[in-house]
Amino acid sequence: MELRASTLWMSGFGSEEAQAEFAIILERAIAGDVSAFEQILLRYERRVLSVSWRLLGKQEDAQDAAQEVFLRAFRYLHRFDRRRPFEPWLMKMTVNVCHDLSKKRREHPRETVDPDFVRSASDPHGDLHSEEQKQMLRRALQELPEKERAAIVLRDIEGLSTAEVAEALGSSEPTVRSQISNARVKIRKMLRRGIV
Amino acid sequence: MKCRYSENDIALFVEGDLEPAKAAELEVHLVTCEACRELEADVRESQTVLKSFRQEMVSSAALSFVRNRVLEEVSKTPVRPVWGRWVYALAGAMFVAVVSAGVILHSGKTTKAPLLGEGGEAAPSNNIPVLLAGADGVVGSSDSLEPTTPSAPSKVASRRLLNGRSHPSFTKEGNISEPTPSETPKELVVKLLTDDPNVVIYWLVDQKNGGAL
Repeated sequence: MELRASTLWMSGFGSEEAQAEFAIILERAIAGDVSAFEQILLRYERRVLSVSWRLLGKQEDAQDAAQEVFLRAFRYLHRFDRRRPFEPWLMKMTVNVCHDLSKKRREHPRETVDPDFVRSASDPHGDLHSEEQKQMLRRALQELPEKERAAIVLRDIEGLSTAEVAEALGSSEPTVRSQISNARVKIRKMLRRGIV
Repeated sequence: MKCRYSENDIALFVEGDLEPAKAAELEVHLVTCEACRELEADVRESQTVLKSFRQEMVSSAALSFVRNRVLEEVSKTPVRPVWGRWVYALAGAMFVAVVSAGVILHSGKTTKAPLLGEGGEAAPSNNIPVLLAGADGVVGSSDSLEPTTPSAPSKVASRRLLNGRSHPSFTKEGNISEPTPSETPKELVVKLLTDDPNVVIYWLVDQKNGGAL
């Protein structure tokens, strides 16, 4: 059985009870309750920071982006359509903020791993892959076009469904399928050649 | 790759993203096509490495750093109540209503004033010529200056009542001419000023009949 840390961490959000509870928290946060917003922050901070890091490649940029995402979320929470799921809305904001930030930085991202920033969960499967392989894959990810990178990060690393990725990227599902298939093929080729 | 299945099909197949019907066909094809099987194994391998990233967790220190900065900023932001927008809309509507009511009441008072003149009789409304000035302060066409009521004279002489000075008269051609002292005004023009500078109401008073309208 494959361990999916982020998905496991998100488990429990899907039940009706949890959704109802979250809806109440959301209402309070929209009304300006900072403690309710803090609960939303605690629930999504890991995912937002992780996605930002995957998209931008730098710890400092990722932290700036995550901060901006939550500040924007707080500012525009009243605009959120409560009939829709919250997470794709937040992911869309994350992708947009990262896009804006990478345009500002104007330099090609190079994912760097600071041991203080990320740590591997105790997963026996994780040890099967050498650090060299992972480094190559990190670089391969950064070589991908922005849209493809965002699609594959959300779909294959964060474990969102194709529909959720489409919602987050503001694209259609066929477009997302095309982006992720292109990205997978390119990554496979890059790893095979051992380049990047 | 010379098969009818592309690399992209296989890349979607390995993660279950391919349409079910096509996936079933591809599954059958993989049994017989070695090249496709190799490609599938390759993609699965790279996907496994990619998914190993799911085990990488952002450290708690990095999270709390971001959290503290966000909460610090958020606590500085003034709380905007949900009903804030409605209060502004309501206040705007009330302001418009009050101003409108004021204008209506004021114009009602000013139009009633001439009716309290000598005789005390209310003038029939069809005998009251009302001239409206345009937005630029210039009265419209000269034809519009000429009252259409049967009792109205063709030439209008006017006088400003408030200060007793003579008032320029409007000729039929639309020119303004100062009245000569020898002119005896047959009619008096009452100029009513409203709050709206673009609206000026003129009353023509027939002085032959002792000011009765």
